Amino acid sequence: MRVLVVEDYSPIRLAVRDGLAEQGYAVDVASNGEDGLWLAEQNPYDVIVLDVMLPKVDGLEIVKRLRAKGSQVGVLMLTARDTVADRVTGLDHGADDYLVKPFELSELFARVRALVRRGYAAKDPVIRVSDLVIDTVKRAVKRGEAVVALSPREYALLEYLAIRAGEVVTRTEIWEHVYDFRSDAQSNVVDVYVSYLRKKLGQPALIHTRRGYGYVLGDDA
Amino acid sequence: MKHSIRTRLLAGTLLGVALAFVAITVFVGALVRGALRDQFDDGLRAKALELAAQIEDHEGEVENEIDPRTLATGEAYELWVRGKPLAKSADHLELVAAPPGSALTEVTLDGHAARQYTLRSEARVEGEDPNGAMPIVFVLARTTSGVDAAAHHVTLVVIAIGLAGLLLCVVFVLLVVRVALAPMRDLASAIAAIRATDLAVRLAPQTTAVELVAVTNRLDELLGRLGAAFARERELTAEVAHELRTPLAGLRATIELALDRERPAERYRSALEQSLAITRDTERLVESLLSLARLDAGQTGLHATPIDLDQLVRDGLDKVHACAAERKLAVVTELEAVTLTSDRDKLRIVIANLLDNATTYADEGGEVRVTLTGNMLRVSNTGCALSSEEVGHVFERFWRADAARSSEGHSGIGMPLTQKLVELLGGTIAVEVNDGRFVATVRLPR
Repeated sequence: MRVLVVEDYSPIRLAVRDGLAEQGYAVDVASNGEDGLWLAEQNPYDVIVLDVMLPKVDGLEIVKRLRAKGSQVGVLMLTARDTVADRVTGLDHGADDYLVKPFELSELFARVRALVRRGYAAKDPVIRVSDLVIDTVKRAVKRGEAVVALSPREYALLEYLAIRAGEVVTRTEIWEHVYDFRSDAQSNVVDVYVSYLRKKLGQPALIHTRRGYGYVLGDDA
Repeated sequence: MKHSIRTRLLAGTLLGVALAFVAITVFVGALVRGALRDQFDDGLRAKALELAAQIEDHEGEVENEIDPRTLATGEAYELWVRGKPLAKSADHLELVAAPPGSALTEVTLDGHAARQYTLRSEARVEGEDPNGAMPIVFVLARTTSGVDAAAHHVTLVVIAIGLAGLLLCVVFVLLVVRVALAPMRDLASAIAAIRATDLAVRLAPQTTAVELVAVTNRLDELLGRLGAAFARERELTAEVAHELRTPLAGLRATIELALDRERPAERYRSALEQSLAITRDTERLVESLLSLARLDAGQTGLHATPIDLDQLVRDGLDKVHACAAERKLAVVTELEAVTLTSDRDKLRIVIANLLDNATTYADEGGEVRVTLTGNMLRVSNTGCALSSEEVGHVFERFWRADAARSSEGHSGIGMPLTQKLVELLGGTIAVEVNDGRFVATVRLPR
């Protein structure tokens, strides 16, 4: 899952970026509204963590413009102002959720997770595909009774495939949702990780290739 | 010294009424006394003439034919003929005839105040007297106790009426004062009902007394000013809270992330360094807020010493050198050697704020220019997006051109603080936008 963090105060920006990255998200950052808006328009983020008070273009304006262009991205507003009016304004501009500073990182992570689920119309934080069980909160994967140990990148890839289980997921989509601008830009990186995953998940195979399209996670071929 | 309006009104009214009462008493008393005396005198004269008619005059022989029974109690007479006493009503009496010309005189009769009427008859016998007259003098005296008692009585009655009136007056005045002062009591309760949380209330519409309108209007103006000040204070408090929350959020996120899992030592070190930097920023913010509050309260004193201003500016430039280098700014300086007497610490803050501002807001790779000539310090930077109208707002607390902190540690109170300090030092500060350059000019007293 890919997240954009737009925050002008660098300690928050960096901590949120690193924290989300450790949670397995692909994270891009912007330190002003202009850059943030540009990134949000160029990339299919799953969630945008957006500060309200930003230089150049403020957070409310960003949400408004994104929504005006039909973007359905989940938006979590960060605000240091906690009056009801401030919160209402944020939500009314099209934000999905808000968090008042100072906040607990774990709460931010939980809200981001919830927004990701909402984006894929999933409510259960535990995804089940065949005998595969993915706990998106604990980031733990089981095949039957066996625990599958995955690297953060492998987990991110699996979670994305799982949340779209049954659908054909293209390489581009995987690239856009699992990798950020800091990732190695090797053309076959997706295929390499898919092969790692296949090995770790074992038999019977759950990830199927659709030649010329992409991959499908599911029971049948 | 506080006075009660009620007491004053009461005392004033009562004094007036009492004076009027005394005057009336004296006047009426005098009037009654005069009338009674006139009546007494008339009676005395009539009686004297009536008695005198009983004195027989037989060819030079005067006979006293006065019947003692015709004398009333408290009356006495004496009769002289040719200067010799002829008769009197009682032996022990020694009446003295009044000198000719004054018929009615005050005397004492048996130790009582009395008045007497002296009657002189002209000649009755021809040839007897060398002047052709045989003087007969008849004196009738009557005690005035009856009249005095009546006058006394009248006086008592008048005083009694007066006192009763006075008492009525007290009650009446108290009632009137009470009713008249009701609008003041109402105003007092209306004022007492005002709470700090609701200063929108206005007193003028609640007042029924015309005399209080001036007071309530002034009070309403005061309430208006207070309300505005409170609202501003609340807004400032919210701004301060906001300003403090942001670094706190950064601090918390940094620490939480570091503690989230086992990390290599250098990761902890960098988290601690980051936390320390945030703490320093916050400290500076709190210091600035405190300085501003003290300046507002007028609690800041001046400690003037001779200062090499150019050196102070150079010291300030050293501090922003790293930031300027990082942002690839060209720093151009034209510093004259200037010595003046001022407060070193406050000037240092002013210079630091101006340079900090310029290096922060200049566009990347832009230019910061610092000029010092005489008592004028000018700091300018390129890349200013403010319009000429907007630029004046930089002296407003927490004002931001685009509703955001442009970077860490810049909270929108640096310029207001700088302005306050410059003014405290007796100088002036002006800002303008000139061809995309933000220019701040400080003039200090020499």
